[in-house]
Amino acid sequence: MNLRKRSTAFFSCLLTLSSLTLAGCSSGPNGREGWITVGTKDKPRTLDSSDAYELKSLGIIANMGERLYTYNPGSNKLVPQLATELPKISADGLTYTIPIRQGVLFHDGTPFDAEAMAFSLKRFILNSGSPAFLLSDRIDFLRKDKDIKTLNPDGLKATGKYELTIKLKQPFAAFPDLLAFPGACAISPQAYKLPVLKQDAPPSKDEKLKDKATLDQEKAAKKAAAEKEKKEKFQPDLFVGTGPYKMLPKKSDDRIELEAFDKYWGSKPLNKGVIVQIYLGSASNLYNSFKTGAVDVAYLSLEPDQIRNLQNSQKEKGWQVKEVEGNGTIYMMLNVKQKPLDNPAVRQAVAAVVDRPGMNQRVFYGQGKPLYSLIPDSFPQAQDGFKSAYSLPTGNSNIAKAKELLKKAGFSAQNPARVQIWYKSSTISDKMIANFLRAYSKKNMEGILILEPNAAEATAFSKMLKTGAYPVAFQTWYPDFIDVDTYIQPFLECPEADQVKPGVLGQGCKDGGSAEQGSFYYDAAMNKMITEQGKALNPAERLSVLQKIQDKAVTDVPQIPLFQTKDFIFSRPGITGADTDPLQNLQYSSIKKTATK
Amino acid sequence: MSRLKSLQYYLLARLALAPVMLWTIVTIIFLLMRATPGDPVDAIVGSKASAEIKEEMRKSLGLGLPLWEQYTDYLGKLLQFDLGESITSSGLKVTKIIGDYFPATIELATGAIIIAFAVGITIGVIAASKPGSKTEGFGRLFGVISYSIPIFWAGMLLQIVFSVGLGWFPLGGRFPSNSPPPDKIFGLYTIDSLLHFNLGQFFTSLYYLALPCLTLGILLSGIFERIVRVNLKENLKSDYVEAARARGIPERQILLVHALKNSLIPVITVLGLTTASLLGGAVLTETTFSWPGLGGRLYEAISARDYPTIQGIMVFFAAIVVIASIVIDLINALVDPRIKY
Repeated sequence: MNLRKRSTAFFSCLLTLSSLTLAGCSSGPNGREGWITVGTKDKPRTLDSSDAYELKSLGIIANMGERLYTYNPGSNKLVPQLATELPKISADGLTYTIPIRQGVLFHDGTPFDAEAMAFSLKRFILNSGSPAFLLSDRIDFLRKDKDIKTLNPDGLKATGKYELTIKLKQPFAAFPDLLAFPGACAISPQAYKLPVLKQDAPPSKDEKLKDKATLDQEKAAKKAAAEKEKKEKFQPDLFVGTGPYKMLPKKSDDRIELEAFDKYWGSKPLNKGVIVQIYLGSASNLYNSFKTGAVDVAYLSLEPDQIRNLQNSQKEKGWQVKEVEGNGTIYMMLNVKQKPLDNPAVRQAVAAVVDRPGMNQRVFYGQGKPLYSLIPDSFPQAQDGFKSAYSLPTGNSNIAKAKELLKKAGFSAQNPARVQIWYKSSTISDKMIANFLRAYSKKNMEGILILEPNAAEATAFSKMLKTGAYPVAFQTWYPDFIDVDTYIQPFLECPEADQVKPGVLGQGCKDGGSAEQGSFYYDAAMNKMITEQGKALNPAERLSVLQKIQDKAVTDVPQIPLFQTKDFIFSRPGITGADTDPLQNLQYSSIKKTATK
Repeated sequence: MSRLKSLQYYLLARLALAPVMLWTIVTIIFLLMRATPGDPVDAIVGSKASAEIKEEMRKSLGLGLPLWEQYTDYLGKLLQFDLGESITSSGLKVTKIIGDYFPATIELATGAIIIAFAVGITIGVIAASKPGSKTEGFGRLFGVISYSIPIFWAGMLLQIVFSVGLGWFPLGGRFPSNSPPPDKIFGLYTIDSLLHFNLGQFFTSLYYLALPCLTLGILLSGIFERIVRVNLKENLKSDYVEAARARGIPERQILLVHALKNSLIPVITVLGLTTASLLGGAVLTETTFSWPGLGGRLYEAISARDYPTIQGIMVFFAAIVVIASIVIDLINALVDPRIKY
């Protein structure tokens, strides 16, 4: 064959192959009738309920598993799920008796009962995964005295085939809400193991007499045993629960397939299954996939400009955009130990400079929800203290007040108050808020207050925050459970204050929640009130304490609330029922696909 | 010493040095990871857990041990081919992560190298055949531009034009969301679908491969274009080409059969060097196209400071590059009798 003929043959083959490829593509994939594709950019770290602690993992677990209590979409009211009614609480507030639902099956066919629920909660605590502290700090099951751990079987046990009894270490008003944490769900005792409690025993007299080789050998054996146990402890790719969906074996790493569970005890899902398509951290791929119809529902998380574009083309394209008010908060932490923020007047001035409506327009294109309270307004206990104290009635900044406060504190254009603002470099909205504040302050504050934005990489940011390196830092807070305590205690409580010299306490926190969050705020009266509200089982009594806490936080300004999170669910034409619960988990079972033209 | 004997000595020396190279790489990666700011425990639990809980978690992850102890522990496990366990996804072995994600990367890299070869060599040949012309100028320009364009930018551009604008190709991913991928044999969708005699799945796999492979392939093709163009131009001036012309052999045959064959030898050498660029490029391509490969997984692990996963994937990549360079040296020696070691 000469060269010309060979070339012709080669290009003919190429053309045929291309045609076949296009033909294969145009015939389209074998779509699954009645299944919904949900697109997200966040890949779950694990699907083990005892280790999952982020929305991206918990959102999927919440659709496969069930807890004792849950919330209906659009409501913060606790409702029974695997319990049949709200718990009976003893007079001392320490013992909770919970009636358990009958006729429930796990995905592997194992019957569910109080023993199975106790097993699930015990595993949650004993596995010591990321969220274990939520229950281990409250339930009197795992006791720790220095390095010695012991179990109190009476703290968590089935007291009947369908009755569970839980004892607490201290009374805690929000405890039933903790039981609604998605990770505290029922898992099959047949599919998982309960870890054996192990601890380092203090060295015995005999041990001191052992030679180095024996000790090394024993150390290595202990280490190997610990590693073996750890491997058996967590199951990141397995989930066997009781929920409306069961997980299909994983075939690809960019998707999770959930099939409707045919033996589910409750209302059957309105679809046959859900494919969670993960766009591996790419908001633009999620955005474009939604636009081109590759996914039916897009949730978590698009950038503000992408949200605006989809909202603007909503009517033309026929897709639906649902705004869901979240319970997350965006706020600024003010380090009370750093100059000039150690002066409360400077902190108050910063609070007065914050112009939430302006930021909302410039940064969130009007999609944000300004927050003037430590507690989101979805809770009846929330009070807009920061609005009445530091903003104009319109909610805009009160520049005159900010200037007055700073001048009284001795600052002027010649001697300005300089404050660094730190944010995570990966969070675009934080960067925009920081730059807005800098420009706004420069324009209006006549040089008395100079705000200087700085960025740090996310993991470095978290580490440096608690060292006290940042004067002002942006944070976003998603609640673990739906109770006001989660917005108060982790931010304002500090059990251990700095010691200026032996016996004399300083102004800041040494170790505690507020130090972890970066404000280093310490106030003995505040600590006392936080404990009181946590224990108060009487709602009126609790409300009164919460009001005092909020008033004090407005005066002391260890943090400034900025926005309440808002989530957006995007559905293609013909898709109905996409909604979230108050913990921001998308409810797959209510999503329905109807035929479109 | 005979040529074969010296080649054997050379290969033995390279094989003996390979573990030393890997050890150096492992040590650098290990130390770099610890020198980077950020704490994996913070990446897992954020700021919510108490200091006590975090300390306990740090201890259980082995991060509380002195650095030298962590290092010797890691090296000891590595010698037993144990790459450890992910610290962000507890219970997940790094070898499993590599096993799960590597097939997607191999598929992408193979497709990309085929495109790089086809495009690079074709443009290189055309450009070299018309020295001093506008065509050669275009070849030169193509080489420079394709080599210097950032992969993620080119990828996004192709996505906007061919996926969002024209709708010809999917935006990302490896297979349609609403369709089950081929049952796993090797994890390579194209091969697995053929082994299952499912042509529909095979073409769908190719369809999803097209844009990511094109992005990575075109950007790598500049290297091949330059090598082929320069060497072919040199060869076309050599005596044996003049002799062929004198014998009346058609110019096209001289170009494609005689001169091109000799010009392709340096391409083999470059192929070895390109392995590292290919794997580096795969990280960016996979991130841009949400391709579920090892590169994207590495990016994810870096963001979460998942030390064992980062170390495991990097060591795996380093081993591939070391092995590839030895194999390329061997091929070079076999193909080109002039090469002596």
